Amino acid sequence: MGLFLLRSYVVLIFLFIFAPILVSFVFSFSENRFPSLPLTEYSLVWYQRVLDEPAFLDSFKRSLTVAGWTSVLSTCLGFGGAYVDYRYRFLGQKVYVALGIVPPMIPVLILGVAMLIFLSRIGLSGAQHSVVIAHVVLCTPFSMAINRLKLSQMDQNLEAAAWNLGATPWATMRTVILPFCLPAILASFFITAAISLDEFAIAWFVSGLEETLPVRVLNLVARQSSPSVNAIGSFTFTMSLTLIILAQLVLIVSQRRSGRNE
Amino acid sequence: MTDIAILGDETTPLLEFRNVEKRFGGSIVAVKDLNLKIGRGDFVAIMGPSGCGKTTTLRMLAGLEEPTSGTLLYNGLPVNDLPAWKRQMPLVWQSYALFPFMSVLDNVAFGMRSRKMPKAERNKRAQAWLDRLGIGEMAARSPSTLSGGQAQRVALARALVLEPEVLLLDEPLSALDAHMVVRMQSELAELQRSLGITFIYVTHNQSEAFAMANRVVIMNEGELQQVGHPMDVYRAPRTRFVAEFVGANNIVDGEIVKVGEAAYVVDTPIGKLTSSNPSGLEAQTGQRVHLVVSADMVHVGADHSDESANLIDARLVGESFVGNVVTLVFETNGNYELKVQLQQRALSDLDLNINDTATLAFGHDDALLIPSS
Amino acid sequence: MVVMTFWTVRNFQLAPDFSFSNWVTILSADYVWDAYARSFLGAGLASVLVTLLAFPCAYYLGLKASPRVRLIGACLIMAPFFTSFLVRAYTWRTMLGDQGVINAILGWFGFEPVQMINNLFGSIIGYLTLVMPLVLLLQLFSLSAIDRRLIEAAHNLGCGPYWAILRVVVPAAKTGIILAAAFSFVLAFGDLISPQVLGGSNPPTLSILIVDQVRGGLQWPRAAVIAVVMVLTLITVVTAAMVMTYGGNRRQSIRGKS
Repeated sequence: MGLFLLRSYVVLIFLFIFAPILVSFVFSFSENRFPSLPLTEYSLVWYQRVLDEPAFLDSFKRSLTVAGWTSVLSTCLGFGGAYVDYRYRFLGQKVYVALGIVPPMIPVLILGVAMLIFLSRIGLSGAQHSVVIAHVVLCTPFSMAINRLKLSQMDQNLEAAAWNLGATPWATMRTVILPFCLPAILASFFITAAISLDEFAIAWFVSGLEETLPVRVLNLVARQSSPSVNAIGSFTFTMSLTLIILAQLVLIVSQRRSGRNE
Repeated sequence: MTDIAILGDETTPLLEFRNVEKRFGGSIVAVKDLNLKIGRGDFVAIMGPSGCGKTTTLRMLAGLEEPTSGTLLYNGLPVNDLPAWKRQMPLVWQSYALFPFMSVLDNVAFGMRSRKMPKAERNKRAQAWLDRLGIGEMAARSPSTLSGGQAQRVALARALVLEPEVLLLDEPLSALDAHMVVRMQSELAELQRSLGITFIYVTHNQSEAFAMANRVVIMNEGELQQVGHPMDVYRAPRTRFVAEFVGANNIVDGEIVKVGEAAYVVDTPIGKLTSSNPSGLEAQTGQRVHLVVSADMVHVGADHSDESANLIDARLVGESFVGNVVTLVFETNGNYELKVQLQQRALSDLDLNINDTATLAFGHDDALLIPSS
Repeated sequence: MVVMTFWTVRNFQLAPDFSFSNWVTILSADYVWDAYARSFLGAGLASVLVTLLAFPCAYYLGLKASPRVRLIGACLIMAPFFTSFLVRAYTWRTMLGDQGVINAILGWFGFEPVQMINNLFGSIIGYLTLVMPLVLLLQLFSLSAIDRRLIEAAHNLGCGPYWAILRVVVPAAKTGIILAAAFSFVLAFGDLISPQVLGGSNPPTLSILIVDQVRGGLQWPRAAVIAVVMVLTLITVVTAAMVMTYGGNRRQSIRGKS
C-alpha cells in the first residue's frame, strides 16, 4: 500500500515535469490562439507562421552559428583546462579549480550584466562574437568538468608508458590521451551546444540588436500570447534531443569499437 | 539431505528452518529445501564456499530476505512475516555497516533509540559495552577514524547492547589482519561462553569455524551437506563435498567388491583397498563409493606388513611447507595423486628425495567410505 | 575564470568619478528592499518546497526501484534540460491562465476560475519547473550512493522503515540534499523567467529590477549594484549550506581526535 502510494507520487512528479513539454508539443499543432480543451482543429499553421517570418529564421541561424563556435571553443578550452589540472601540480591549484566551478554557480542574469559591462569596457559589445565570448565563459566550466571526470578515469601510468616507449609528449597527446578522452570531448561538444542554443539571458544583454532565437522568443512572450512559441519550442526540443541522441550514439559506437579491440 | 538435523537438546528448538527455500528472480536458487534446528546457547558456524547460500540463510534469519517457501520458526512460532525491525536478532556485518554520520557512542545506542529508551540510560549502556570491549575511549569518535579491529568491536557492542537471544555474525573477521583474527576468535568464543546466548556465525574459513564453534553446518550450492560437532565433521565427512572442503583428504573412487564381517574391499584405480569404516553406509557389493583417507593418516616408508593396513607404492613428485607441516605429493603407478601430511621433523628422519619411491600405508579404519555422488 | 576579475571592479570603473551615489540610490530605495525580500522568500520557499517534493520521488528511484527503472527515471529527468525553460514557463502560463486547461477542467466541475498566474503561486510553479529536474537528479545521485547495508543495519537494530528514512537515509544523503537545495536557491534567486512570465513581473523581483535598470534606463551601474548584492547574498547562502553539510562532520572528527 505504502509502495503503491509512493509509486503514484513518483508518477505525479513526472507528470509535473513533463506536462509543459508535452502540452507545448500538442498545442503547437492546435489552430486556436488560446488553446483549450478539447482541442479541435489540428494544423501546422504555427510552424508555417514561424517559417514565414524572416526574423525567426535569422535569429535561428544566428543561434546555430553562436552554438557552433561556442561548443568548439569551450570544448577546446575545457579540455585544455582539465588536462592542466590533471597533469600538473602547481601552487594555487585549488583556487584554479574553484574558479572553474564559479560561473555555473552565478545566475546567468548576473553573468549577463557582468559580461555586458566587461565587453563594453574592452570595446567588444553588441555583436555576435560578444555573445560567443559570453557563452564560452558560461560553457567552459561544464566542458572542463566532463573532461576532468574522464581524465581521472585514465590510468596515471598510461602517459608514462607511452613516453617510456619513445613517444614524444605531443605524439602521446595525439595517440593516447585524445583517443581516450574522445567520448568526453564529444559529449562536451554536444552539451555545450545545447546550453548555448537554449541560453537567452546573457545573449539578450550582450547581443544588442542581433537576437538569437531564445532572445527572440523572450521578446515574443513578453509582448503577447503567441502559440508560435510552442512551435519553436517543440522544434528546438526536437533538435536538442537529436544532438543528445547523436552524442549517445557516438558514445555507444566508440564503446563497441573499443570493446572489439579488447 | 532431507533428514532434520537436531542441534541442542531442548524440546522446542530456538530456531528452526522447515523446508525453507529461497529463490532470486524466479530461477536462481540460493537455498534449497533447508531443514535445520538450532538450540539455545549454541555457537553455530555456517560454512561453505562463496555462493553456497550461507549468507542468504543468515539474512533470512535476520528478516532481510523472505523465504520463497517453507517456514522459519523462532521459539516454535513462525516468523516468516515478521519484519526485520521486530526480530531482535542483531547482525554483525562483514563490512561492519557502522553509520558514518554518527559518533561511535550514537552507533552503539542506535538500537535502543528505536526501543524508546531514555537518552541517558541508553548512553550509559552503550558506554558500558564499549568499556567492556576495551574501546571505551573511542566513544566520541567518528567511525571513519577507527581501525578495522576497533570498528569490529563497535559493531559487536552495537549488537550485544540489545541483550539479544541470538547474535548473527556475517564473516566478521574477514577484513582483519591475521594476528587480529586469532585474537578476535578467542575473544568471540569467550564472549559467547560468558553470555550464554546463541551465536550464528557465517564464514568460508574452516579454521575460524573449527576454532570457535561447537556445531558446524556445511552448505554447498544451496544445499545442506552436513551438520555436527566440528571434530565429527572433520573426521567423518558424509559427502564428497564435505570431505574436500574440511581438510586435506585423499579421495579415491571405487566399487565395493566384497562385503566382509567388519571390512569392505573396494576396487579402485590404485588397487584393492580395505575399509572397516563405512560411517553408517549400508554398503553392498557392487555399490560405487568414494574412499576417503585424511592426509595426516597416511604413513610413509612403513615396512611393516600389518594385516590391518593398506599398502601402496608411490613415487614422490612434490612437497610444500606451511609452518612446520609438510605436504608431500605422491604419484601411484596409475597416475593417481596421494597427499601425505607430516611434521617437518618426521620428514628429515625419512631421508626422502623427489622421484624416490616409497610405500604408503594407512589403516583399515582410517579409510572412510561415503556414497558416490 | 576571467569573470571573477570584473566582479568587483566594474562598478567603480564604469563611473570614472568613483562615487557611491549608485549604492546610495539603490540601497536607500524601499522598492529595492521589497524586491529583495520577495526574491529571497520566493527562492527560499521554492528550494524548501522542491526539496520536500522531490525527496519521496528520489527516494523511490534511488532506493526502492529496480536498477532498470532507476536508469529510465534518470534519463527522463534529464530530458527537460534539453528543452527551453522559457517555452515550458510559457506553456504553464497557457495552462494555468484564466481560460487555460486547468481552469477549464475546474469549470466542468462547476468551480469558479482560480487565479494561478501573475501571483506568487505562478512564480513558485515556475521556480519548481526550473529546479525540479536538477534537484531530483542530485538527490537521486546521493540517495543511490547510500550503502544499502546501512539501511538494513538500521532495520536489523529495530528501526522501522519510516524512522530509518529519518535517522539513516536523510543523514547519509545530507550533503547531496543540502547541495541540491542550495543550487535550487541560486537558480530561483537569479531566475528572470518565472517572475516575468508566470509571476506577472509586478511587483518586481531583483532579477526583474536588473533588467529594468539595464533595458529601460541604461542604468548599468545601478544594475551592477543589485547584481553585487545578489551575488553577496548567494555567497552567504551557499557558504551557510556548506557549513551545514561539512561543518557538522568536521566538528565530529576534531572532537574525535582530541
